[in-house]
Amino acid sequence: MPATVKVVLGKSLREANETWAGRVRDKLRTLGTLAVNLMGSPGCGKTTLLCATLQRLRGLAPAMPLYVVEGDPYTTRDAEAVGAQGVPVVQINTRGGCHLDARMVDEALRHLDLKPRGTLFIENIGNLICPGGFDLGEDLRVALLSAPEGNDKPEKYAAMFRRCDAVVLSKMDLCGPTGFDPGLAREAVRRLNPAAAVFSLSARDGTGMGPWTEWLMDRAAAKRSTADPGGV
Amino acid sequence: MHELALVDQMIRILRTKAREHGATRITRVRVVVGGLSCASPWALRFAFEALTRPQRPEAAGPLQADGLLAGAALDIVERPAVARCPRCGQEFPLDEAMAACPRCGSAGKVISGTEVYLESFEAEVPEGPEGTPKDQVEEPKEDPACLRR
Ligand SMILES: Nc1nc2c(ncn2[C@@H]2O[C@H](COP(=O)(O)OP(=O)(O)OP(=O)(O)O)[C@@H](O)[C@H]2O)c(=O)[nH]1
Ligand SMILES: [Mg+2]
Ligand SMILES: [Zn+2]
Repeated sequence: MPATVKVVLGKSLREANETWAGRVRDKLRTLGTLAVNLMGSPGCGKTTLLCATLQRLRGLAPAMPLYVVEGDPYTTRDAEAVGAQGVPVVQINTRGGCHLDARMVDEALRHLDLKPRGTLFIENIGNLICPGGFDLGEDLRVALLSAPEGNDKPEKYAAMFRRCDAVVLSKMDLCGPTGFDPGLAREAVRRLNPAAAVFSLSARDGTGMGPWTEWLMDRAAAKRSTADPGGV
Repeated sequence: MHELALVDQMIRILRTKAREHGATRITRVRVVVGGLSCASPWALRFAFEALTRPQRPEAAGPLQADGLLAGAALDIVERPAVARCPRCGQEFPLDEAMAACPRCGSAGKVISGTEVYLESFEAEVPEGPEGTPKDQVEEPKEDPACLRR
C-alpha cells in the first residue's frame, strides 16, 4: 500500500524566465547599457515611436550606441523599419506566441555586438496583458496607450499600467477625431501608479518628443555609471 | 496562451520533485495565482488538463505517457493583490481600478499579487524499510511573490 505524502515547495512557475532575466540584467549592468521594454496593444505606435526616438537620440548623443530587439508574431517588417535608421536590430518571431520571454532576449543579444554604455530598446509583442508577466531583464518598463484605444484602458488593463515605469500617451494628434482626453488618462494612470512618469506625444508630428527623450537620456546616463571600468 | 508555458514549467518541476521523493503518482497539485499575475486561472486549468489527461492513449505525449499526473486534481488558490500605503503603513487589497489607501487616501504601492507559484503537491509514495513516509516541507523560496519593484 503506498502512503500519500504532501510536499510543500513554494516554487515560482516563472523561475526559468527569472533565471534568464537575471543573466540579461547582469550582462547589461556590466556594459552600463540601459534596456527599455516597450509594451502596448497591436498598432499603438511602438515602432513609429521607436524610430522617432532613435532619430532624436542620434542627434542628442551621437556617440551613444543604440540597439533594438524587435518582437512580433510574424514578419520582419518592424526590424526593417528600424534597420533603415542604421541601428543594429534583431527580429524575434514568436510564431503566434503572445509575449517575449527573457530567454529569447538573451538569445537575441548574442546576435548583437554590444558596446558599453549604450541603450537597448526591446519592442514587445503587441498585447496589453501577457508581456506584463515576463521580466526581460530590462531597466524600464514603458507602456504605450494610443488615442484611438480610449481613456478607459488604464483601469481595464490595470496589471500593465500599475507595473510600469512610464506611460506614453501616443498619437496625441488624433485626440480630436477620437475624443481621447489625455488629462483623464493621466489622472487614471496617476491613481493606479503614482510613481510612473507620463508623457503625451505624437511621433507623427513630433509634439511632446522632447521630455520623453530627455527622460531616456537621464536614465541612460545613470545606467552608464554601472559599467564595469575593466570592460572597455 | 502563456498559461501553457507556466503549466509546462509546473509539470517539469513536479516530475523532478516526484523523482526526488520517490513518488509513483501525483494525486493533487496546489498553485497560488496572484491577482496581478497576468495568469488566468481558467486558462491554467485548461492547460493543466490538456497536458496531463490524454484524450486518447495513443496520442499521449512525453509528459503524459507514464501517467504520473493522470487524474491529478488541481487546486488553484487565487490571492488578491495587496498594496501598502507609503504614508500610514496601512495594507489593503487592491480592487481593479483604485490604489488609494482607505485610511488616508495616499496612493498605495503593490506589495504582492504578481506571483504564480507551485505551493505543494500530494503524491503516493511506496512504504520503504523506514516505514510510512512523512510529509515534507522543502525550503520555500524566501519570497515567492518575486516582486522586484
Ligand atoms: N496619426 C498618427 N498615427 C500614428 C502615430 N504613430 C503611429 N501611427 C500609425 O499607427 C499605425 C501603427 O503604428 P506602428 O508604429 O506600426 O504600431 P506598433 O505598435 O509598432 O504595431 P505592432 O508592432 O504591429 O504591434 C501605423 O499606421 C502608424 O503610421 C502617431 O503619432 N500619429
Ligand atoms: Mg511594431
Ligand atoms: Zn494611508
